[in-house]
Amino acid sequence: MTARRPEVAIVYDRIRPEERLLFDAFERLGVAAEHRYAPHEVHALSGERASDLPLVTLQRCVAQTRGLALTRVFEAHGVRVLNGSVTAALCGDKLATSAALTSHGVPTPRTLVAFDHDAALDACDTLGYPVVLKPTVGSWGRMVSRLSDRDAVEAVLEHKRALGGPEHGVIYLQEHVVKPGRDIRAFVVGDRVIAAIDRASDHWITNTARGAVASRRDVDDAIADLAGRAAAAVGGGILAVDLVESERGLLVLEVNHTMEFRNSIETTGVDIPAAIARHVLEVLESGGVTRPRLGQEAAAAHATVLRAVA
Amino acid sequence: MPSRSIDTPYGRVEADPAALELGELLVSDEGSELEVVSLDPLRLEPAPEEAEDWGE
Repeated sequence: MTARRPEVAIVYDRIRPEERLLFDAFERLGVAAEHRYAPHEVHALSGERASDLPLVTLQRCVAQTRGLALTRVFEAHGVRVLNGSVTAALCGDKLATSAALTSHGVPTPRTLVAFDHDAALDACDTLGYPVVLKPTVGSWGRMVSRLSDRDAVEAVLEHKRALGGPEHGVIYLQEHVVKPGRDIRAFVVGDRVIAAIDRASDHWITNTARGAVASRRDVDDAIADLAGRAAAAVGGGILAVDLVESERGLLVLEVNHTMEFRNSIETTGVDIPAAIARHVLEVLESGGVTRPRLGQEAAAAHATVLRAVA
Repeated sequence: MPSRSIDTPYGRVEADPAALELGELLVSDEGSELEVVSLDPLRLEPAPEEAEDWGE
């Protein structure tokens, strides 16, 4: 007897509260989503078609490199993955995110990229101090530095040079935006901004993984518009868009494609895992659109939804 | 099935083996964070430390 091909799967590499909540959300919807443990996955990439892969997969790997690799493998076998490899590749690299955002006219903090020590120092002088230096890959505010003067920049660049590795040869610098003690996280699912939180902290890094306190934030037109445009610029999907209030208005800090939401369900009153599960099922029912939407097409779709909501 | 004690080289954990899933994290009585890496036979290994590419 041939086993029936599963329709929906969640691929993950560790079960955090988010994965448990997603498992439960699918169960509550009466969907037997397959739980796939990424470290045990083995697939051919030489023409053979896998018959046991699901039609649609929710990608939840915490290890971004593994997650992106597996997404590409699944897509090669015709699986619709949320989020797709284009979105994951753009969001998993801050430089790629910045490039996508700027090419679609989405406002961000002023950002400069340099490729050697002296050029980076000049770039910092241009941006002014303090200046923020970020690794292009990483999350949870890890290795992000706010550098108060040229001496501090020189010291960090020296460390990067000593560490070696090609990733340290790309120096990603941003203006330091003076926040009102908080930033904003907007949760985007498909074409909708379903919820938002303020993340407040005395620390300049306002990340809940670093102790920031979350509180509910109304999704006003400005947040919905900017988060939607940022999501569209990276191909859309299930995303957390981090925004900061500045003298120039709202700016996009980053877009996260494997978002955490454990602290935002009660805070917002929105059942985020249920919204994600429903979106996955909508994609399944729509036949699993395989082509990610980018740029103007996605922005146009978002604008249509905004008009429909209004 | 109720929880039972599971002895590991890294300490003892209380869990219901029938309810465990791959990738689940458990903390032993010695404070080690353990990850379920096999269900049959059940095998727990020290959970990997946070890597540079981990994140959202």
